[in-house]
Parts: sequence; C-alpha cells; structure tokens
Amino acid sequence: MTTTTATTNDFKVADLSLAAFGRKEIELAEHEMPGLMSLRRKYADEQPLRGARVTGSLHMTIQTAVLIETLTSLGAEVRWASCNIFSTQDHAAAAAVVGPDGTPEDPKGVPVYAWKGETLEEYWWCIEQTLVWPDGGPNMILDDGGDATLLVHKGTEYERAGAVPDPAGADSEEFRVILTTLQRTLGEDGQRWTRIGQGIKGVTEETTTGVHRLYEMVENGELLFPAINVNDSVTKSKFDNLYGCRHSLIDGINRATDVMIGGKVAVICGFGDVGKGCAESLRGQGARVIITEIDPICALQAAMQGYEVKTLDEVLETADIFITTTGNKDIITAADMERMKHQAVVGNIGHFDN
Amino acid sequence: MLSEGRLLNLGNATGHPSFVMSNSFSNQTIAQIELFTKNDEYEKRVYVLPKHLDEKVARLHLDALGVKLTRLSPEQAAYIGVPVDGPFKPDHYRY
Repeated sequence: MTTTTATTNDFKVADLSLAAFGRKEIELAEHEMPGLMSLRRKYADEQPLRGARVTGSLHMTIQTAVLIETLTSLGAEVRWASCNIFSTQDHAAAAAVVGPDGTPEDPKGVPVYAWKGETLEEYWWCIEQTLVWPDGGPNMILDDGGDATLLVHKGTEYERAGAVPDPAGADSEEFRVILTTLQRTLGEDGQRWTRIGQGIKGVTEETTTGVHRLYEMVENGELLFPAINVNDSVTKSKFDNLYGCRHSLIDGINRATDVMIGGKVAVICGFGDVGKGCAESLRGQGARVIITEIDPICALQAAMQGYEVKTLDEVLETADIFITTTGNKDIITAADMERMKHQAVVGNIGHFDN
Repeated sequence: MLSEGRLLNLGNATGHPSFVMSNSFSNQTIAQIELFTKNDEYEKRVYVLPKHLDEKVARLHLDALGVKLTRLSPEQAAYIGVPVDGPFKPDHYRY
C-alpha cells in the first residue's frame, strides 16, 4: 500500500496520542464499509490514482479516515481538512496523520488540518493549508459543501481584479473571514489561487448545497474545472441523506440532551431526503411529527405518509423539538425562539448554520 | 440550541454510520478515479455518475446484508427493454 509520508510539522490536529483509539475505530469501520474495501481490492494493482494530489475538505470522521486511506491505497497523495468547525473526531484526525504504519512520534499518514471546535479563522486557515502543497498545488479536490472550491474560485477572481473587496462590507461573519484570508494571500502572492486553479483537473462534490453552488458557477461561466456531482448518485442522496439522518438525528439529540423523545411534538422544517429521514427517526421514537414545507409535492408526500403539515407560525408555542433540514437561511429566527416553550430543543441538520 | 446551529448529528454525536457512508464514499472514490483518469472527456461542467456506476456501488453493499438478487431471464429483459446486467432504470427514474 502506498501512503503519503507526512513531515512531522505538516499537519495540525488536537492530539496525536489519540491515534491508537482512532485506529481501533477505523478497523471496526472498515468492516462496515464493504464498498470502499472492495474498491481497494479491485484497484490494488492498477493504482488508478497514482499521480493524483487530492485536497479533501470533508468532515474528518472515522468514516472519512477510511475514505482517505482508500484514496492513498489507490495511489493518491492526500491533504485533508474538515468542512465544519465542530465535526472533526479528534481520534480520527490523529489516526489519519499517524497512518496504519506510523507512531505518534513518527507519523506516516497524511497531512490533516482539523480539530473539533475550530474558530472560523482557524477553519479557513485549515482549508488554505490543504490547498497549498509544499511543492505546488493539488490536481484534484474532494469537496463537501464546496468550501475548498469556493476559496480557489474567489481567490482567482480577486487576483484577476487585483484587489479583494473590503472585508468590513461582507454580508456574513464567515465571508468576512474569507475576504480577510484572501486579502492576506493577495499580499503574499498575487497569482497563488490562479495557479492552483489552473492545476486542478476536477472536483467531486458530496452535498446538495455544494452541488447547487457548482451549477450556479456553470451558469455564470465561472467554473474553472469539471465537476462530478456525487450528491445526486442515487446511492448517495437516497441513502446517506435519508438513512444516515434517520440514524444520526436522534443520536445527536440524545447525546446532547437525553430528553425523552416519545410523546413530544417535533417539527421538521423541510421534507426533502434529509427531512424524510429525520421524520422517520423521530416518529420511530414515538414523537408526534409535524412537517413544514414550501414545495407542494413534498408537502403532499408528507401528508400521504401520515404527517401533519403546518406552518412554523402555527406550532411555535406548542412544539417541543424543532429541526431544520434545509439548505436555506432564516428558517427559525431569534424572534421565533422567543415564542417557544421553555427548554424547547432547536437543532439543524441541513447544511448551513444561519 | 444544539451545536450552535451547525450540523447537530456531527457536532453532538458522530455523524452517519459507516455502512451508509460507504455508499457515499464509494461514489466519491469512483468519481475521483473517473475525473482523474478520463480528464479529457470532461468539460467545465457538472456531471453525475452514469447509472451503471451507481448500480455498482449498490451491488458492492449487498453481500454484507445477505441480499440475494433475482436475475432477469433474457426474455424478461427483452420484454421490458433493459440489459440483463442493467442499468435497469432510465436516468429520469426517481426511486
């Protein structure tokens, strides 16, 4: 098996001593990931990714570590960051850096820049580290939510313009951080992102939200390289989004609150693939589930499945659990939350945090 | 409010289970191989993986669950106009 050797200072994770625990969980996960393991066996001789330099931006979890080691076992070199400030599992990140054959003192895995609880500044710094290779740039991106792709495209755009817009005028805290990052890099090297963009052969995108951004870029004639929409493989969106959320929604609620779900009134905002999984998850626990929808087709689906479909306004004062599953903003506002019961649980499992 | 409004399944728990992510990540791996090795066949557009690769990802996960597939006879395949080995559905089929 080919592995990328990390120089000892080319990574940043929380704690390398967690690697042994991470490795144990990776081995358990390998048994549960027959698709990836059979791809490893199938392509062991052919090494189709030899020469690929993959920048990955995707939740640095145990499952992602199995993906990373699948890519390296097919010949790729890999650099990785998480695509969410809270999603990294620190033992997974440590194990990916140490690799199957290394030790915390002598790591032999891949350069990972990810830890649980990053600030926004740290988050975008991590993405930057995975795009800037010690000897050049990546030739592939594996993206989740499109942030790595976004940084390359915005960087290229501003380098062409010769200036970065004033971060003070940014419409969100996150975009302010992106602009500040790009202002700094423009000062350091006026062609960095242009060069990186030119070196990239393509991106594969994991999520509904990232795919939406890609189609927008195509429409505006801005996309710099080909993209494969992985999200809309049936074996992705009809499985990960649906059955994945059916499993992990109540896991998240239980670990965070341990509140009894049975009997509670739960509101799911959105009845797409994610919303469908969430509704089944909560109904399975005995919650009384209410759906909000903007799309008449999805609303009718929800009603035919036996869910009540109402507006958020009607249920704010009476429901106990509120879950947003959309990729949109302003679904539940601070003013809405003021009208909720004391200790109502509010959570998001859609892409954005606003 | 869980996880400060960010993905609660990953912020408060450990995200999706391995088995379902094996499906997603098999698609990712196949897509990386496809774009990297056949780069000149792709323009600066957005593509989805062809259906036979989607079916292949599903196939890779059947044994682990003890699933036994039924196989069409050539006559049955011809009757509904699909190859015996798939793809079995048109691209617009929604599952």
